Amino acid sequence: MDILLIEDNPGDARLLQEAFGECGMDHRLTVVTDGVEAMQYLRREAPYPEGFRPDLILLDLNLPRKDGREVLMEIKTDAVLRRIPVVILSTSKAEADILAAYDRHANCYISKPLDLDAFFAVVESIRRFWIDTVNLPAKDAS
Amino acid sequence: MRKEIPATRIYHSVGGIGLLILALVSYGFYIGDRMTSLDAPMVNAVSEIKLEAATTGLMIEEILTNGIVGGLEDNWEPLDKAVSHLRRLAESQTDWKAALLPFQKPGLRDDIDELEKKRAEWEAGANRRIWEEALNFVRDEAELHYQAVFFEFMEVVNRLEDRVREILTENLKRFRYAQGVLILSCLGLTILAVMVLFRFERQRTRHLNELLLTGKRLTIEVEDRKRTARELSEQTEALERSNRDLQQFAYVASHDLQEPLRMVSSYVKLLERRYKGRLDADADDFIGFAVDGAARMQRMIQDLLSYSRVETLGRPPSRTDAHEVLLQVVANLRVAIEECSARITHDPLPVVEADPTQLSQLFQNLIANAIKFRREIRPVIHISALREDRFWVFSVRDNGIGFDTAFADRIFTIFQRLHTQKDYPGNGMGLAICKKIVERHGGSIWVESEPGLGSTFYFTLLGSE
Repeated sequence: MDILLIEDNPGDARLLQEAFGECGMDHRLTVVTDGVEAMQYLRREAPYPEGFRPDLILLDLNLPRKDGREVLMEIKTDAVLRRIPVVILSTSKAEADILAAYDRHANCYISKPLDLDAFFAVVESIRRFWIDTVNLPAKDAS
Repeated sequence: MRKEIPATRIYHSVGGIGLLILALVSYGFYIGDRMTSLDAPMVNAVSEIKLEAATTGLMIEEILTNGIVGGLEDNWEPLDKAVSHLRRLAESQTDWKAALLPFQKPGLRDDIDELEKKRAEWEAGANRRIWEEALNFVRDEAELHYQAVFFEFMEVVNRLEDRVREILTENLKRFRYAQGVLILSCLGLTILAVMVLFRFERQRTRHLNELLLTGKRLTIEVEDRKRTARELSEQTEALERSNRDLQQFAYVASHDLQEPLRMVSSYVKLLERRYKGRLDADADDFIGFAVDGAARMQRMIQDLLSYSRVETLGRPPSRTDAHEVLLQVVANLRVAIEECSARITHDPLPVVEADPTQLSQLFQNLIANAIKFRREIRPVIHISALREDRFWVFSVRDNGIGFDTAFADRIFTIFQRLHTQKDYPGNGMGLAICKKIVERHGGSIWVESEPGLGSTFYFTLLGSE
């Protein structure tokens, strides 16, 4: 199972990787650090000709170059990409951010907890729900 | 400064001189009248007498020379007329007038009496001469006698003449003297009048100057006030700006600080999780302190954020039922309340002008504090409200540990605490937020407390009409 994390802060990315590790997730986690790169990756454009289509996208809202909201909009307006569940992972709890995300058809919005244990618990619940529980669309379906 | 003559003295002087002038005019009028109606006529009368006496004397000489006899009586008549005229004039001077203004030389009437006597003697002498002449019995002795009585008569006439002339001259002198004094008085009065005029002018000028000065002072004062008001409004604006900046700063700082802090706390926590007990005891301690510090800082930033959000996220006050808000708060605090079986009571609560979210936060902070700082006994918390003018004074009374009211101001300041973290964990933000909420609503908050007995927190909110 492939997961794409779009996150500009390497500390956060690493922390998520660590959390995945702690949860015993042996899934492939790929990290891109801005919105432009994310779209290039998803569309297998240079410099990511070998890019793959992930089963789940974890998206941070505040990104350099292309903002998380724009990335979300592009994904959800793309006939193929829009099937991929997008989980928003943001530090913001602002109502405006939450509404903006759902308006653009985010699949869910999660505020990153400040506390590590709580964060690990959140990652654990993502795993349990999005990986263990839900039925994801078949990747090769067209 | 020159000493000013008192105004009353000037007015008295004017009055005095006025009276004097009046008196002088009366006096001059009297003397003038007297001179024209009495003194001058008397001089004329005496001259008349003199003339008539000379005429009569000549006629007697003619009779004696030409020997004409008879009709002599008629010849005395003009002289007698003149004499009686003089007498009339002299007697027209009444006694009281003479006494009041004794310008009449004494002896005038005596002289007239004497004149008449001499005139009789003169006539007698003349008649004797004429008879002797007619009888050709001329004696030198009679002629000599006649000459003597005539001479005596003329002497009296001359004396009378001197006397009336003297009276006229004296009265004339008096008149001139009075005239001089009158002129001087008029001069004095003029001078005084000029002085009074000058004084009025000076006073007018002074008053005018004072008015101008007052006007100038007023203008300056008004300008001062204007400037002060301007400065005040500028200061207020600057304060508001700096306040806003501070709000903004607190929000941005705490918001943006949160991210790196999350990294710090997450990774030290991860370190602790992965390596606790695998390094040495010191490392465990150090990591422990780092975790603790990061956690505390996180809480503080959270609190700072909520403190700044009182302003940034506060909504305008609206009609809010304090009773409903309290019920909600008690529901929110259910766990904490049940944990220590606190008893929460309240009087009827009013509808007030407040942001419901913030009123809820206010009640929650105060009640949570009351529970937190409880004694070993069952906490009893009572909430009530009293109307005071346009405001409602709310009170939250507890039977907790209380505190020394010397610290009453400190407890409303951010991060100020009266207890150690160990005894009562917390950041010292709750009451600071309460104060900010109340003040944002235009009210005030204060506390009364007795160590070991409990505290009562009061706050005011505008009533809803």
